Amino acid sequence: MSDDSADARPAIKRIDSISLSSQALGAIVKAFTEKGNQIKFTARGDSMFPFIKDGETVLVSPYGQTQPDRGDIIAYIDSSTKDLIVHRIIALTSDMFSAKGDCCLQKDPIQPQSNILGYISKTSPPKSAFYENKFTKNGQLISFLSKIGFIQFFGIILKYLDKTYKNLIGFHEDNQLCS
Amino acid sequence: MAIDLSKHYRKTNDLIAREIEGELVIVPLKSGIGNLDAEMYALSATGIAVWNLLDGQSTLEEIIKSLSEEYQASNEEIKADVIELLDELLSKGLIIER
Repeated sequence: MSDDSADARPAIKRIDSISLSSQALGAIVKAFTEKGNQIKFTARGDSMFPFIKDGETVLVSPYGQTQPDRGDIIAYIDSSTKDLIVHRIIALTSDMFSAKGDCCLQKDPIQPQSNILGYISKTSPPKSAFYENKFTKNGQLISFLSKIGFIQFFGIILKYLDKTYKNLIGFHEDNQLCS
Repeated sequence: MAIDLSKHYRKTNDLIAREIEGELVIVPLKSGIGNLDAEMYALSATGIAVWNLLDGQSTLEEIIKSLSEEYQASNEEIKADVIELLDELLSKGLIIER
């Protein structure tokens, strides 16, 4: 403890969610939701574009007495990689589910429902109440549109328009469409 | 806030802590919600040893004695490090006096 090395001293430092690995982030989100608490963090990537954009803040709420439903945007831990994923449920049985990023071409591997940590109950910047109610939870229509690839097509157009607009006003960024 | 060696300190109930990759990640709760981008801390491995003893049962003096035995260092060396850490934990609202 009184070692010359700075690492040996008892120290505390401030960190943010961007500095954490996806696995570490998943472990922290799990620690919150399994105790019935909500948790906010910055979403990474554009796999849920346009509903959740890269860099937006999402609030994960545990299901509690309610059950996951098709159309919900959920946070779950992937069984094989242990990564934290925020995607939409497109199909579920009594104990398994299948999710997909709205802007991704492929579905995620089928997972047990026990991997679900909670659902996205809010995003920041805030969206309208209609958006919050219909597009993040019980979004059955959105789930269907995501499943058939419409959201991805729609997302490409929106992304193109967004990029064109930003080019016009001289704003530059280097975003991947589906990360 | 001055650290008193004769006092008992304990972790506040309003936080979630999880050991990840050798560090203890601590996130305070505000109205039952944790905000990873507003306030999140990582405690070093030796900091975890101090943290684990902050249960409100032992005085700070007893904690320092116990750590000095565990790490085979003098009380004075340990005391300076522990007081510095407790000062930070108190100012961040992560621990309170029992």
